[in-house]
Amino acid sequence: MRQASIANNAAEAAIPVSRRAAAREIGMKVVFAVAAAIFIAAVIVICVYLFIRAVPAVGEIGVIEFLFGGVWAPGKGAYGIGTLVVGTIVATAGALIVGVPVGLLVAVFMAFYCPKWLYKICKPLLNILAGIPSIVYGYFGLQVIVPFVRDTFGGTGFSLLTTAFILGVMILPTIINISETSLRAVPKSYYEGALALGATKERAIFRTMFPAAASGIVTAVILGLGRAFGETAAVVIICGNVAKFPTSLLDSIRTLSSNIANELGYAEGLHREALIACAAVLFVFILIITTIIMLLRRKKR
Amino acid sequence: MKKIFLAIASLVLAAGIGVAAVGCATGYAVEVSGGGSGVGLSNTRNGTFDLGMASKEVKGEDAEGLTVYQLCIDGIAIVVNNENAVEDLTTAQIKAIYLGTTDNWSDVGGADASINVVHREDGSGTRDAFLEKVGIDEETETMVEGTTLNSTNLVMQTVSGDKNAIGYISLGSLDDSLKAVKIGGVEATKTNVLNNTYPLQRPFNVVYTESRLAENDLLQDFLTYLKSEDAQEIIEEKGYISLTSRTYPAYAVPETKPETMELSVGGSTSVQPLMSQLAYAYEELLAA
Repeated sequence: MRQASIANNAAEAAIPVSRRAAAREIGMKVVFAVAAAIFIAAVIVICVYLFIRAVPAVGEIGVIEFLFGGVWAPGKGAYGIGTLVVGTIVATAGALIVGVPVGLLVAVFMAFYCPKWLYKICKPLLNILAGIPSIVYGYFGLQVIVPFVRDTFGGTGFSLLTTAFILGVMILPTIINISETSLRAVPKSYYEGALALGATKERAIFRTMFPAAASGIVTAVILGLGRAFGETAAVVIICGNVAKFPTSLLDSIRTLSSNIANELGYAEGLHREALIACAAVLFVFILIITTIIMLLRRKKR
Repeated sequence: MKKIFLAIASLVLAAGIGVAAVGCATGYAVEVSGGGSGVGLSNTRNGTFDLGMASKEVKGEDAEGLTVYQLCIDGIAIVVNNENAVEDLTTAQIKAIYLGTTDNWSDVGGADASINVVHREDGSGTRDAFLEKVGIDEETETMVEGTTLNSTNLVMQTVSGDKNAIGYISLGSLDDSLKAVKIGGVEATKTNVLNNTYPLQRPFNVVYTESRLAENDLLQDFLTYLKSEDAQEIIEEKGYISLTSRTYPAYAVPETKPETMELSVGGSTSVQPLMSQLAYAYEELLAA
């Protein structure tokens, strides 16, 4: 009896509390839902806006002429982004050639070889590198790398080489941080096992740890690729903005993003729409990259 | 599908316009749009614009029914590296360099080295002025490919660092980090621009009709502002050249503020960036 009445009392006391809790719960649910709605709306609005503006322009120019045309000359009414797409792709590829080997080796160093005291210095330095605004990279490129390339290799210095180098440095933090984390996430026993079987330290790292951390490392590379792909502020200063197919490392290039940054301020009519279509093309590329990452993640599971 | 897209877009647009309207409704608005000098003149004459902008001389038939006020002069300096031996070029030589028919400095009296051409981006007012005054028609002529940079400052840094480079900048931005070549023997100085001997220059004009001026008190006050010391300071700061033959009184906000709330200004896209700056500064003054 006594126990039952206590339970009863407790239940009675609990009712108003739980009601308040339920109300609070609903309130928070609404807050979260609104937050999610804002974020989803932002993505959808940008996406819809881009394509609504881009589709008629591309239709007017002609899909083939727009995507594969080799002449971008708004003054003459020629809107072919072939050279810009190629410029963007070679600049990104160059950035990966510079950034990936260095980045992966640094990640191995940080994960396996680095003494603790040095790690305490390296890690913050890496974060500083990641935090430098891209315009600063651009100015550094203009003041240091452009004259260096011009004096050492010839040409104007505003080149694919310069752009690839600066972009390669810019994507280092992304590649190093993510691949280091994924290398550290591999169970220590893999490494010890390899050593116990007689492998050298290097062999254990490259033959055992690397394959085990493969999906993380690929993600790191693809995120770096994404960063290089859309980079604007630094590239517009150092790439030279010449809309033609590059034939050597010392040729100037123009990327999709630098093209938009250069001309959007003044463009009117079809020119403006064509620039927005450039943005849509960039957007599609980024979408593809994101999809690849998602597929890789799923495969890992 | 298209209908859904359009519906969403118009909703978004409506919301944007609503927000913009609420934001703007509280003050005076000077709307500055482009269209080109010709549009500026005709649309001012027919009353679409309260004030027109033209980056060329307005006289004869063009000026019919319009009152012209010259805001300032836009001068273009052709710049090379300080180490470059070339001191003097003709407009024909400059044109040949930018069309690529001349590609070595030795052809124009310099060292044996290829010419590194520096451009401004499409749509830049400086680029427009350069092409117009050197006589290059972009629709029919193809210029040599060259480094394209999107600010005067970047062009200056590039030319001052590359001894084979050539570029063009606003005359007002010139400093001793690089060298302006003489054009046909005439030095690029403000004095030579003002006495009209330096060829790479063009006037920035504004035009209006007397009938519109009489009925629009905001236009009257904005013109007073454009003719003031305050406006000339902005003009000089942006690298343009003020006419020294006039005096510019300081601007004071009138005691009874204008009744008209909106002014539409349009025309030359070369004058547009400067006019936007002036309009913004003017709105701030009126709002204060």
